[in-house]
Amino acid sequence: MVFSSITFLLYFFPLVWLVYRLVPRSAENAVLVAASLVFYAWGEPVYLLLMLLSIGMNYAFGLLIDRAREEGMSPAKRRFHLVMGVAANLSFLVFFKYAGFLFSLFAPANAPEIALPVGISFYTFQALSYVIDVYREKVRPRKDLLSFALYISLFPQLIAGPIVQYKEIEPQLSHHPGSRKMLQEGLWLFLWGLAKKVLIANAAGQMFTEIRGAGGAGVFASWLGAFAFTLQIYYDFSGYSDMATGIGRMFGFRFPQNFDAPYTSRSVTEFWRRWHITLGSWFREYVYIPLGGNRVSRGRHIRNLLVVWLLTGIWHGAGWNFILWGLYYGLLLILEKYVIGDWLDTHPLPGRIYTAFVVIVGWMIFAITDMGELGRYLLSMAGAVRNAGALSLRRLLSGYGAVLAAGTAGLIPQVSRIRKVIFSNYKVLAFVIVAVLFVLCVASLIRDSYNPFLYFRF
Amino acid sequence: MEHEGQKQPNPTRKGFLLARVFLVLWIAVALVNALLPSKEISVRERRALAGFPEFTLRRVLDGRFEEEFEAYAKDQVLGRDALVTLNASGSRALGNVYASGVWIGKDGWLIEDPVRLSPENESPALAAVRRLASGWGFEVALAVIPEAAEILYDRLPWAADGAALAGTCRTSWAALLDAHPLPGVTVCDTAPALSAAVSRTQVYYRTDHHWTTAGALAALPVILEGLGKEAGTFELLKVCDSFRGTLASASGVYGTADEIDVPVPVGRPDEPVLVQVDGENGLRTSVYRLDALSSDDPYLVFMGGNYGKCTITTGETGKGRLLVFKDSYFNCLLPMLLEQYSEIVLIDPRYFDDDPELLLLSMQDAQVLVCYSRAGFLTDLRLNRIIPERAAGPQPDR
Amino acid sequence: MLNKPRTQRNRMPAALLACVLLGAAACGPQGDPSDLSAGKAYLARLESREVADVLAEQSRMAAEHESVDASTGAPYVPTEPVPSSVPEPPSSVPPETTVTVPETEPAPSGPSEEERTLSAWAQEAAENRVRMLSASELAWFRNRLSDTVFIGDSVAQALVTEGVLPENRVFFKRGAILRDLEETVLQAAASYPKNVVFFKGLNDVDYETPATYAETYAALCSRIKEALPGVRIFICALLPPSNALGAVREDLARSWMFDNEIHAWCVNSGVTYIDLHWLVQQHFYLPDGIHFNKAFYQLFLRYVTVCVKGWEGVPR
Repeated sequence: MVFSSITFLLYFFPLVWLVYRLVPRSAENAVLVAASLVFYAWGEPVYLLLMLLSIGMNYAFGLLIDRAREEGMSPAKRRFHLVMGVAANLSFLVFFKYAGFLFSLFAPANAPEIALPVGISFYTFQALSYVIDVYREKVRPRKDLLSFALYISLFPQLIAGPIVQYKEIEPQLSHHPGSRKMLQEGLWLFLWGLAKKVLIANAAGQMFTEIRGAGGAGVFASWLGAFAFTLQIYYDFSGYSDMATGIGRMFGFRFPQNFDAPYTSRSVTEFWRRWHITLGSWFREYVYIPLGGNRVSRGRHIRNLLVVWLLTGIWHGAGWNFILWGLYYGLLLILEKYVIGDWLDTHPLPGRIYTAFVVIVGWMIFAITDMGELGRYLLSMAGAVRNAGALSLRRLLSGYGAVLAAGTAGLIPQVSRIRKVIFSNYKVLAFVIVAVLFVLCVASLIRDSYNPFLYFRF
Repeated sequence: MEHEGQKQPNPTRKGFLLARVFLVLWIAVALVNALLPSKEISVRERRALAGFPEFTLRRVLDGRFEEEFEAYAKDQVLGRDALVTLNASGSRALGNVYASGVWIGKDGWLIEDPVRLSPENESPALAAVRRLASGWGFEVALAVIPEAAEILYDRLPWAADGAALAGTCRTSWAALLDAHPLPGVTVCDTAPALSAAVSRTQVYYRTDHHWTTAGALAALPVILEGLGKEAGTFELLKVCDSFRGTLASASGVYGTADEIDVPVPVGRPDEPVLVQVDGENGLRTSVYRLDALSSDDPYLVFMGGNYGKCTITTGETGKGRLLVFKDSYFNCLLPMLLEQYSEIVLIDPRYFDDDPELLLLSMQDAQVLVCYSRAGFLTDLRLNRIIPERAAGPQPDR
Repeated sequence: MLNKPRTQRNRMPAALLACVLLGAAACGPQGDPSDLSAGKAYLARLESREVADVLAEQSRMAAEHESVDASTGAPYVPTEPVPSSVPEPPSSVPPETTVTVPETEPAPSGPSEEERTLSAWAQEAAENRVRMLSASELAWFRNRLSDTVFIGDSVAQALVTEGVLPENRVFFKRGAILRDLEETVLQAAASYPKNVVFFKGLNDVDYETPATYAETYAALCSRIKEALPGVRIFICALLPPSNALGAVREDLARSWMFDNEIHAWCVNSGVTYIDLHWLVQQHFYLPDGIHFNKAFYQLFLRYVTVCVKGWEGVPR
């Protein structure tokens, strides 16, 4: 199930909220876990078993690792348990996500078609954070299976993050009373995120699809398409994170922030501190720093960065373009760290322009999985491809101009500040705004099922 | 800072109250939505709406139940039609002038985006027309009515670049005809007549993809000239003023309504006709259908629809027979041709399923008119399939 | 921190009012219904005409023109008449036992209208001045026979190519003999006709004997009755070759034996035999001596319609 569907908006969420409010506090977690499992199973009935297996397995590993420590086993033995736990989790991930790709590299004829269980990248990383932190003795293993299950499966952040490390949320798992303020903030945040996703991201996505599908677009059109995707992925992902955080807040959870005006960054380094923040934190915490981070020789440091970025790229998807994308950013970060970083810090405007350029091009590498098509698209962005004339720029601009304008405006920090002011000070106006947006979102969601039968009239 | 301290409880409480109100409304709407009985059909969309999907364990595990549930949820939303209109209006308010193949033009005009075909691909229907003339030896008149976008290009919105679009339509059609010559076929070019008529009358519907009866009347002399006949005079009588056609449905824009007229002969009595529709028992005495005016689709007042084969006999004697291959555009032109022929046979290739060879053999003395809208003609595949190559001549018995 | 007045007007009612007004405006004014009454009355008048009245009007219009061939626009030119050695066509009503023409009251003052029409047709045939049916008359006949199918070979096919009957009422197989027609018969039955008329030519004469000919017909008829209970079956006479051809082809000239056999069988079995011998005029034959021309089929249509469906409404 996804948040931006009529099933969720008009059936699932009202029901869950109603039940949640009506049951006594002791049953709240049970309701949430049940709802989360239904939410997950709704899209992937069979993979629910995988999720349950993951919950059970990691719960057991947490206890095992801790018992190994209690019983005074040797570090090697304890590490062995850790390795088992990590390997078990990763094996699922590798199997479901990467087996097809690996096969296509080495044995293309036998490449199996494996459907990717939704959210596996997210909840596997959450499970890993738990197991590793238990090993590191930063947290106590969780004895209560129900609240542990809640950690892995909590439906707001299950499908698309934010990735919440166990130690960040541990105290809230059993005790999340919330407050009136949290409820109100959460609800408004959810609705705002919904509008971002449905009203802007979906439209921008359509624009990109049209431009991409036309084949042979000129320079302007292909850049316009790339820009449309840039907007799409931001509003989609950050909209989803807003919805997740908002719902979490309504249930009394505080999730970490995932996006912080990323497109205002003045360097790639800054960009990755503002984009998908929780993923960056996770990699830093569990890969970069254990490898030594930047406290090692220059050669090692570069290696660490490349490893982390290769993994970041692969985490996003199993394909050559993702690997390329990860390395692209890795190299740029190395370049910034060692060569141009200081200059960028002192020249914000060129820095912003450079970052925007790099990011927009990077998104194309991310978006187009077929390497041939990617090459053609990048060439057309470079102006090396003649305009085949299949695209009417006028029509695109008239159709999507408003969305592009709104999307671009939303990126400006001043505009975002205005929204915050309205939401905190003009409560009634905020109410009207989100109510109208909600209705518009529902209207937009049912639009694609509007399918008049016109054949016989012709 | 005291300001803030004093302000704090009130905005928070007001905000909380508003949030509560919203949640209550939301849950109430969801409950009402879920409890209301499902609608079975959508009048506007003219299709059945999805009902509650079948609930079995297998289908749940399959994922089919979930998919169908989403379709059901979308179809059964409270106030669906209003929401769709809202979406369309909202999108228009934001400057979008193109919806599902329809341009939303000035002054409430809805104009269909023309079909674009590259001249390298011959439209199959042209091959069929050539076969009729060369292979079967018929006297063929080809009347392909141009799209509204070509004639009314100045009503198109800026985003459509009307002049260029009209030019493209014209030149690609001309190029198609040049590339595929049709010996023995009289091509009736109705575009000049329609363009000339624009200033004094409405030649296409605002909300439908058909041409108006006034447009048909303007084109009548050209088409009859192609058949070697002279046009009579007609006046138009209004029969409907609340027509919202296919383009309104397709785009979701339900604004101005159109009027439908029927042509009445001037100074002459109405032609007595007998209409035999294939597959129907009994004969009709009129080429109109009055009760269509109160149905969903008032345009069906002309002939009541499209049939595979329909034979019309008139009171004229000695005026020959006409075989027409057509789509729905011809239906409003038909009443103006009744006085020109003794018998008119209408064939809509999409529904015709009898033996075409016999049909053509039995109509060898007839003139042939191929009358289509340009979009219909360029995309028609059936005409080519039903016109066979000329038979090799009568075979000897035994 | 911006300062805003504490009391904020509640904006909801204004917004609601605006929505209501917009909604009302969007509905738009309805057209004045009285404007349309003239148009609707016109359409209603056209649709309410009776078929019979339309036919009468059409005949009246036709009468104002010369009675020329409506289809080809030119008068029908008869071919050179050949002196007939075939027995004289019956000059009065054909024997009642073979035709299901409803009994007419014997009028003391002379022959009935039906009888007069039949003899008029016989005269047209003999004198070779067959009146061609107008297009609407043809339509009338076709409509009348819409529940009837014709089964046969190339003589039946000519019903279509001469423009007399539509192609979906005639099921034929060129060059077929009776035995071959079983499939065709089933195809015909698929349209659930109420009447079935067999009209075959001379193909069987070389292949069968009169007895087997009758047997095959019997088998076909029982198949039909199985598939379509309550159907009425008619068998047209087996027409001879032209005199010229008969002189040359003796095998074809003995077709009268087959015809007699089938006539006798019909009388016994309740299938109706349609006697067409009065239609056999030498000037109706095509040069091949087996098939017939347009004039023949025009008369054929009239006569067979009367045999199958009776006299009601028949244009004379």
